[in-house]
Amino acid sequence: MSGMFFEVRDISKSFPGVKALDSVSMSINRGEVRALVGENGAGKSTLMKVLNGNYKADSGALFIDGCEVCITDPTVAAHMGISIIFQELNLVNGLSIAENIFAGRLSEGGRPIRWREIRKKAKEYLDRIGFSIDPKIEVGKLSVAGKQMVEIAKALSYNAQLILMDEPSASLTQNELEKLFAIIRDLKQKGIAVIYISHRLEEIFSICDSVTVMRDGKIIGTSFVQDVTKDRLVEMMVGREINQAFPQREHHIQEEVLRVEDLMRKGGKAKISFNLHRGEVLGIAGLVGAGRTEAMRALYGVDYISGGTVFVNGKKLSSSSPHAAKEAKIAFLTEDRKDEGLTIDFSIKSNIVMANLKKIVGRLFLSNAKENAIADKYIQAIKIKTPSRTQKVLNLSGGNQQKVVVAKWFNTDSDIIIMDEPTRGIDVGAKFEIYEIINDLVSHGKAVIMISSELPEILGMSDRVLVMKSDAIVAELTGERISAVDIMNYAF
Amino acid sequence: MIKTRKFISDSRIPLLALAIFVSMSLTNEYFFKPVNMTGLFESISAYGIVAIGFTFVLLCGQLDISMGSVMALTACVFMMLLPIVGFVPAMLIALMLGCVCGVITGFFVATFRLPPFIVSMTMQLAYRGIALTITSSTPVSNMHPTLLAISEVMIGPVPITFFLFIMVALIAHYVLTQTQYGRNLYVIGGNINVADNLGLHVKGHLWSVFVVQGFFAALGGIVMMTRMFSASGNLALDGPLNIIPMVIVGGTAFSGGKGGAIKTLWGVILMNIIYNAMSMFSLQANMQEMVKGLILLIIIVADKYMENRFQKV
Amino acid sequence: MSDVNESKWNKIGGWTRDNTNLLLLIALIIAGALLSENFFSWTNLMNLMRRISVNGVMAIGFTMTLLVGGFDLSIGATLSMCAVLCVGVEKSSGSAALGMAVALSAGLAMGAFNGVLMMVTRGGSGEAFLITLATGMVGTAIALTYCSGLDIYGVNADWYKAIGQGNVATFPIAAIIWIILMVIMQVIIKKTQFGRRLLLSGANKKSAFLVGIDVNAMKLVGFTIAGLMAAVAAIIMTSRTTAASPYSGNGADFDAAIASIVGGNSLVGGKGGMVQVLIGVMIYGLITNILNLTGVDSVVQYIVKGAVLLLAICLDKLNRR
Repeated sequence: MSGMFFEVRDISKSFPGVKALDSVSMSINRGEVRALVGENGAGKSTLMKVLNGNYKADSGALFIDGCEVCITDPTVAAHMGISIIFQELNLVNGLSIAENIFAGRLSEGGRPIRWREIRKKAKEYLDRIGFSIDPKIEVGKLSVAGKQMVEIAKALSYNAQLILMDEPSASLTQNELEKLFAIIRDLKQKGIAVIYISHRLEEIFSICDSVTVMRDGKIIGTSFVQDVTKDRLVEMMVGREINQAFPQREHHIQEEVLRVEDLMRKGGKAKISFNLHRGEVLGIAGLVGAGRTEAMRALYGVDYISGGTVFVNGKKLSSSSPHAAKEAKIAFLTEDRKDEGLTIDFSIKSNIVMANLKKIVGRLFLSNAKENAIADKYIQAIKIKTPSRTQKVLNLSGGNQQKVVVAKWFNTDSDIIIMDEPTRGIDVGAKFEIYEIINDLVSHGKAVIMISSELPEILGMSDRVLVMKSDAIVAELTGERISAVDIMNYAF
Repeated sequence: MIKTRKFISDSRIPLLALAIFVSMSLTNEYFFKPVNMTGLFESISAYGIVAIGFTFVLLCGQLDISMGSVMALTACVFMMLLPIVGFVPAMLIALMLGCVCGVITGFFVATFRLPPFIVSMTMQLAYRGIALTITSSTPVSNMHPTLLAISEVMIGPVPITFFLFIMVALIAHYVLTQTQYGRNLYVIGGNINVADNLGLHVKGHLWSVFVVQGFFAALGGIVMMTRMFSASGNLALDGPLNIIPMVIVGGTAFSGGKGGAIKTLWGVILMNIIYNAMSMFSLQANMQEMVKGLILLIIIVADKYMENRFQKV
Repeated sequence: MSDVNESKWNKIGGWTRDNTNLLLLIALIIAGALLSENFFSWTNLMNLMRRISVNGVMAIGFTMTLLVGGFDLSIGATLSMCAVLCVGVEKSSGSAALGMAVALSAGLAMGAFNGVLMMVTRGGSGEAFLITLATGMVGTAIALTYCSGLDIYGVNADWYKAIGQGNVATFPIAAIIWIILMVIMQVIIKKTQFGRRLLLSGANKKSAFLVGIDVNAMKLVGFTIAGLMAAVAAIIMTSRTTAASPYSGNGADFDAAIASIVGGNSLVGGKGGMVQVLIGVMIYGLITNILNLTGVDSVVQYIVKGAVLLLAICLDKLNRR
């Protein structure tokens, strides 16, 4: 089968403060497996959501077999043969596999549901992808891989012609991944097109026919997989030579400031041990679901731990709690800045001072003057763009919100700063500013732990890299030997 | 072996109900007497029917504590209309009124997205207030012949209204397990995002469950009249206190997406046996209320604790 | 040209939205003045102040639970329980002071009990609603059991009666107690580190926890204060009526909730304060006053007040995002 099966032309989509998609044009053939790659915030998920009807594009058009179509919501998309498998799987845990596959379509009119038929049909679709399992089983009891299979069976039951997969391999083992690839090859044979979003460049070369690179909401280029190299792809994703994207600094690593021994979070699969030095940037790489955020949350005492100790400057933390960690001069900038990093309805100044209220105490009570002074100091120092310090944080852009979070923790004069995806969803200019801030911190003898899913960032900023997988640290890389390929190999 | 264990675990509520029933019958001479048995079945019927309605609301992950007030209001209207228009018209009007109450409560929750607990808390005072106003705060009594006739129909010690309850539970079970509408409720309660993605008209479903509860509250109120023959604005003041445990113990959780009509049926039976047994031990009325309150408290705290126990905060 | 006008209207619209409570209060004052001749007379105003004090103190407690991100339906029951305990103990022991001490302890205990349960369930307003619904029922049962369902009469000490009925330079002592409590609470929550942490914990428990705030302890504090305030309100009330009924708290939680939310305290947590309580309690008192003056049935009054509450929640939701 040939001919442009599915095409988008000049799709644009904006959100307050950011242009997520900028005149995106792309087309895909039946039976083609197309990889969609790009850094975080490049626009991949937004594009998928437009195709699936979760978002409505501001402008542009979609075409199926040359005819323009209008996709207003996910149900329309499904009927047109477009199915999406989200990373946060779209299933109801308490219901059976069969019911999840046919949810919303269990009976016609008001007629009673014929469960035996439903289960039979479900089994047919499951068998078609080689997943032999009792359709009566509750979806909640399946592994991530199993749930993905259910999603694929569901897509088939909608006669999907185009299946969008958002980071499908994130939580799969090697075995499960092989199975997934086999299914994708089978779908290919049936003439079904697949768009495959992934960070893992290795995978793309083994399963995809072609690859499209996105950056800053634009399509940079599309080519067949055999016509590009990994390095070229990374270059296209980042937009410049890797070593030029990051500010220069001197590497001056001093004594140990933090040591973690046999730390395991409750419900975790492995213990971790590592240390950190003054003047050092420790990058933590790994795939989504590897347990990096969970490990830091355990370290900081946000989640329950089942064992392990944290030493700061040789002294044990008084307890596993954020309070103890903060007292020990550790700061934690979380992944989710809106829900966890900020008190979103409060003003900028309230947010900046909230981690160190001692500083705004006047003679007897809290001093408004001191609060204003501190807020102004940081607004100036980190260049937070706002008309006033009493502006609600809700109204700021992503980059400025992150700056408020940074200011908040700066105000605690911490020595160890943990940052989880510090530049996610932030524009290039603000990103560079954050990198400069990190460099400034370590040059003054602080220590930084940086979790990041952006390889260039890890490579460009870290003195040392820990690679995590399934809650464990599987590799420690230093100096000249750090390369993207190495990290990816271990992360797998 | 595993199958037996699973069976026991799945049927623990009916088994517990049976166990308590049997042990009470053997140890307490007044328990198994027809007088007590009839009273037990009667109390099961009225609140049981309302509990089925509440089940629909909980399945969607919502909450509505106005069932007692709706019972009072519809019962008052029913009794007031009884001598004027006769049994069947009065019943139909009362049932419609129950639906109207559900429509109003549901409107504020589904359309304005206001928190259901505050809306139902406010509405329950409003409905009760209306009931008190239209009855001028005096009870409306009527030993209407049809009511008397119904109250006398029995099979052994079991009143006919008990069978009405069973029938209601079975119909509800059918709707919840064999119709698209019923299954949609489970999806909405289980994961509302999935429901949105499937295009399930969430707002309409949410609104409808409040109407269902209103309808069954009205039905329960009428059934109560076949026992009490008198309605007032203060009827079923302990409605939520009694009904919530029945449904939760039965196995439908506050979080939504889990549970069902048959589970509620057994929960109703178990709790009523427990309440009945409590009165056998001649606990003072107020002490009984205190124990009931503690039971409700334990159920709520246990349910929420299990849900949130891995969070520190 | 039109841009300037539009932004002016936007600003006026914004101010109106933020200050609906004040506007409502002013409107009610005008209505009250129109309805009765001696509205602005000192006696009338002082009577109003005395009348709203009990609800005022209750509203302080309720607001504290809102600020920590919860909700409290049990304060009415706590009021009943403390009222009968206060008068009952005073009657049987002869000491009003002992009665008051027992009442305050009971209120503290009830509040702390709620707080502990909130801590254990990691609860937000939904859980708080259910939990306090149940503890309220237990509290009412305790009150009824204690006095076997009958009213208790006692209260002989003059100094005790002065709390509810006396004046200091024509200003009612009850109102003075209320205002002092409000001032103390306001200073604590707006002007101390502790208060700031309390507000942060209610506004966003995750971000507060991450900066080392003991969110669970804050919940305990909020609910304990609510219980304590209910006890204080019980003391004022019984000293005014010189009797206690186990039903005295019926609907008192509702009254406090309306006053608190209409005044501008938000259901989301962390937003609000005693100024809002003052405005809200006065609004509530004036509404009751006007409804009484126009001869509206007490039951219908509840429906009106319920409608006002629903309106207030709608506004709160609109103001939020």
